[in-house]
Amino acid sequence: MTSKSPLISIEEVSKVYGFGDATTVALEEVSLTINKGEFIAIMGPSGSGKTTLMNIIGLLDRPTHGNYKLNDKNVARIGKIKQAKLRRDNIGFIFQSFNLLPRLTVLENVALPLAYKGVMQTRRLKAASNALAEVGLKDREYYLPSQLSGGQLQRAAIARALVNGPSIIIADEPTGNLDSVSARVVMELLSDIHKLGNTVLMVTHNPSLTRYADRIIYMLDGSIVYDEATAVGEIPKRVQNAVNSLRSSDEEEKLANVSALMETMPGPDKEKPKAKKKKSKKRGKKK
Amino acid sequence: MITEYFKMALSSIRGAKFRSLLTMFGIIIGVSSVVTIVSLGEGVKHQVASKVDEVSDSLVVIRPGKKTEAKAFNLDSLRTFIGNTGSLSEKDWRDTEKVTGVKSVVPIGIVSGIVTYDSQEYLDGNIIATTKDLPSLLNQKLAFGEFFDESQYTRNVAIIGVDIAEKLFQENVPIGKSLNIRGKDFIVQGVFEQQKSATFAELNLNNSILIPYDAARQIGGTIQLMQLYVEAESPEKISDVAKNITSTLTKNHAGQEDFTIQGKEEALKTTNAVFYQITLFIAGVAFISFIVGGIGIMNIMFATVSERTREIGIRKAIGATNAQILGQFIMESAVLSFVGGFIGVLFALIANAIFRVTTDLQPVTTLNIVLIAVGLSSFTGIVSGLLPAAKAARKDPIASLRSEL
Repeated sequence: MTSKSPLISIEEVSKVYGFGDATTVALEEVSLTINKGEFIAIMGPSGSGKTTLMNIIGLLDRPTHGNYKLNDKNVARIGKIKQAKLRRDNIGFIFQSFNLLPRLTVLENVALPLAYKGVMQTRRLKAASNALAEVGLKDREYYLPSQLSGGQLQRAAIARALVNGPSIIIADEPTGNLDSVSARVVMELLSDIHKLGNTVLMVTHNPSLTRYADRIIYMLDGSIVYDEATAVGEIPKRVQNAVNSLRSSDEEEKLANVSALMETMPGPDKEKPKAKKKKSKKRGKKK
Repeated sequence: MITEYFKMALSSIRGAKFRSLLTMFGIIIGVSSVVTIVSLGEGVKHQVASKVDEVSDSLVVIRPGKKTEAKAFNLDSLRTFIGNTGSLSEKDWRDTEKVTGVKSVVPIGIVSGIVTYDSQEYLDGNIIATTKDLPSLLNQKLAFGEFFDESQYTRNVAIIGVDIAEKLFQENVPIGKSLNIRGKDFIVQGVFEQQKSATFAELNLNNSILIPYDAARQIGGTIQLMQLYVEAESPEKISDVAKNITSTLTKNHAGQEDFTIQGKEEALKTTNAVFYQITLFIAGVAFISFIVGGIGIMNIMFATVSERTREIGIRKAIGATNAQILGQFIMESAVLSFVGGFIGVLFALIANAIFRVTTDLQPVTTLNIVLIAVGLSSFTGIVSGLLPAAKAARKDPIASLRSEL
């Protein structure tokens, strides 16, 4: 389950946008090794290069310099077609805003990665149905995304990310648009997926979520400033302090952290009162 | 994967029904008008062919004037035709009768004069002087009464068409009544059956009053010979007979061939040539409508691609290759125009049905034209979908994911 051969190995990867005076360095010689079965939380302020790093690992982008090995294969300079195919077979994306296609049913959405792989319809719908059952949405298969709640949408998105049996699941603020109860359900689900042996890479602003991770990476100005293994269920003090000190000017962010920390009480998948949901949505948008 | 693209295309078309319909409109109009017009043309062609079939196989028609080949619609050919108009004389008629291989000759002479009945003038019809073999040669039956025979050649009798019966006499069977031509009374002794359309003999019997040639000469005035219908002894001898007549008449006309001899085959060739011109013209119009429709589709596809940037980003993130995105959008555009073509054909069929019910036209829609129209519209869709689809395929997934859904 947790064989320690490196799944992802990034060596001195840089990403530079623009030319001359307008040059922006999004990533500066970042090196990182991810082993199979890890749950990594990436933290850092906006513009620290989290998303760029994720896009490179997720094969949506290519590094300007440096090497990227995925399953011992160098993928830093591969062509777009190969990149897309590797992405299809190895990466499962979970987005902050769910990104399900509105015109397709939940089942069709989940089956879509398999469609691009060329799996026959009956087989892929069955696989999608199984994946939905795993995230507890078996009875919502034929709903349209507009008919589901945020939490349900994100669970469907997780099913879509899982349906291909990816090497790594990349989650970009998976709870950013969710109320606290839904967020908790989604995080528990991610945690379960991790426990089944999947590798999860999560970007988050919320330090309380690092408790689900067994490794925390903190980024600042395009570099990894901090990389520490922690026990699952623990929020490292340093992370919290670092975040709080950097974010002390941001009142709303602080509030978010506090409310997130308070939501540790156990509870079933219930909808919270509307007022609270609205508030959390607002917060999500500001980010 | 193709079926996949097809399903995706259908679902996105269903997702924007009204817009899709508007987009298809150019193609719908193009296809429906082309199919309708070609069907009408095909129908007329069939009608002409069947009419030509009705006349005797041994029939050859001689007309004054040299007919130029129908090449294109231009005024020059018209002028040439007018300039070459010649005339046929009674001598031509008599000489033709003596040509070897000729069984009989029927003259069609226009008699000058005004028809009156009950002091009411009738100006629309023709008075035609002819002989007894006309009905059998044109295979035209009489509804009532009998055609005149040789013994009646000098008598003032008339056979009339259905239009004359209705308009002049205001009754179906005016047999025994008399009408007045140049002061002489002619007794109606027969009424033709409705003639469905003019034969290649170019004679509208519905609106004609037929009188014996000799009787016409007795009442004075001029008789202009418009046509001579020649019946050959057998259909095989037609070309020989035509040659013989040509040499005889050329002698009569001071060595000039200022007349036209036409058999059934040539008549069909002429109509087909005319329809070929019309078909070419329609093809040009169709081509333009397909270009316009295609540009409309391209325009909408560009809008769709911009609008669905986020969707493209999502699809790429979950593993769609550029080629797959390209295929999806080309298919969408192809399906859009294919459906447009299909609806266009349906419209054309409806229009044809209306033509059948309300007019004498009998449009014939062949499978060929339907396949060509639908195929061409699909092709238009593919071509006009190429650029927008390429734009979609080239989109950067990261930037696309950031755009609004």
